[in-house]
Amino acid sequence: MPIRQHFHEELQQLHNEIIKMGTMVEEALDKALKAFSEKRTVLAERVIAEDVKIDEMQLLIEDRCTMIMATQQPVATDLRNLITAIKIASSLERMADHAVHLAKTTTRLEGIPQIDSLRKLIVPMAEEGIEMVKGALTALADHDTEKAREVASRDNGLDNTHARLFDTLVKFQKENPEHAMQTTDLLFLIRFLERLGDHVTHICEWIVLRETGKYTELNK
Amino acid sequence: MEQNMGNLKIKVKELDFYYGDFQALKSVNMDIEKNRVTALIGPSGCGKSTFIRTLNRMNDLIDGVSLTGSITYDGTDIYGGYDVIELRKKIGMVFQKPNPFPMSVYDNVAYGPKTHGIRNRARLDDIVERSLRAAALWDEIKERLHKPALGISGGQQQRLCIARVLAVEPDVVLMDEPTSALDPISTSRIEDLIDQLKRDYTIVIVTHNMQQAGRISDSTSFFFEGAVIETGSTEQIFFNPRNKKTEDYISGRFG
Repeated sequence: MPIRQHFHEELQQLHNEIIKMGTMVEEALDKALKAFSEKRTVLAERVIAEDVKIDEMQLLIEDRCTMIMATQQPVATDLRNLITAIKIASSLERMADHAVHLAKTTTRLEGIPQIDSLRKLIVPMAEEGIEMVKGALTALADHDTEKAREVASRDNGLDNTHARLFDTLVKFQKENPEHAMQTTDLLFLIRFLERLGDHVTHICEWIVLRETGKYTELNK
Repeated sequence: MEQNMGNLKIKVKELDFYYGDFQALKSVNMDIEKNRVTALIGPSGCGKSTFIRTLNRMNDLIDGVSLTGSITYDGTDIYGGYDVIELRKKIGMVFQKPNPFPMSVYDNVAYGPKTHGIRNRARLDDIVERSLRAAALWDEIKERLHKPALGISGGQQQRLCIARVLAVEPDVVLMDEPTSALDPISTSRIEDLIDQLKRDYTIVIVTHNMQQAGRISDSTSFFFEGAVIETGSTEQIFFNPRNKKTEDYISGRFG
């Protein structure tokens, strides 16, 4: 195979791997949310156990980028693809950590029906965040900067949901001091879900950089 | 690209160049700024070497060439009665292969100043030392000044050729693939040297080595089939070229 063709196939493979990692993260979040909303501890434990595969995927992508940079001296679009691949893989890995947080919270809240009303309030926020993740992954696969901008613009909505839930949780905590531990856990959880939106925004920014060559801060 | 007229060294306007009937350059426009390194890149036969040779009228030596458009150097048209000897003193050239004269290291460097009338030994000694220092060769060669230039290494010979150009106190240094015949260490020394020289000189360099253009130049022009396809800051050309042909060439998709 001609050397340059080999290089371009390596870049294509890298793109496929990023999309695959994105799908793995999306699945982890879906499962973690299902476990949380349906109180399925076994499913939550599986999400926790499978996180290592996503970590491995990140390392694989970083290694591939490093090797291509070292041997091929890429420029222009090729270079931007590699730089953004590293950044996107890093954001995806952190998003997967938030799936793990959701799963761990699920296991810790097992057998405490008193907080079910709060659980029901948090599920829509998690859904909102996961929808953003899916939108960003579509933009990533389709090289779609318009979609990336639209998805990033939803982050303010997620921040508002966070603020609203924060107040609700604090109020509940004051009224039910015996559940201070669980509500604190949930306060952390909504903070992680809020961070999920920030990672999505970063991915959208990398998509715009990759496609246009210009770094644009989305959703300041 | 924004252009500060105060920093303009050479201005090329609507330059067409022919070898007989063959048009080698098509409507080339370029602003070359003072104290900057301008890299010319493009596939073989794209006109970049022809272009760099128009800047000090090296093509005048070839039969059957013709040219329209204008090249001004410090505001003066170089094809409008400019003294060619004076022009080549001001705008010196370093070639792809080191081409020292078959004489001593010292005489190679002293040759130019002597032809320009400098005979005083002490002054020549001073010029030779300053030029060899500026070309980052003095420390290696000071004990061998009177040995044959053809006996030193290829990398040293190329730096000697640069010293020879510097000895006549030029203003602009043109380099046509100056490191393509050198190993990576000699190449790296020449690149360091270019980076130092731009403080005092304006440099235009033709290179086939994309990474070299990326490392050493401030601005880059991409030539294709005799035309300048794109000119921009080197960062912009290598990170975010505007033209697809530029992108394809620098990423090795053709050429």
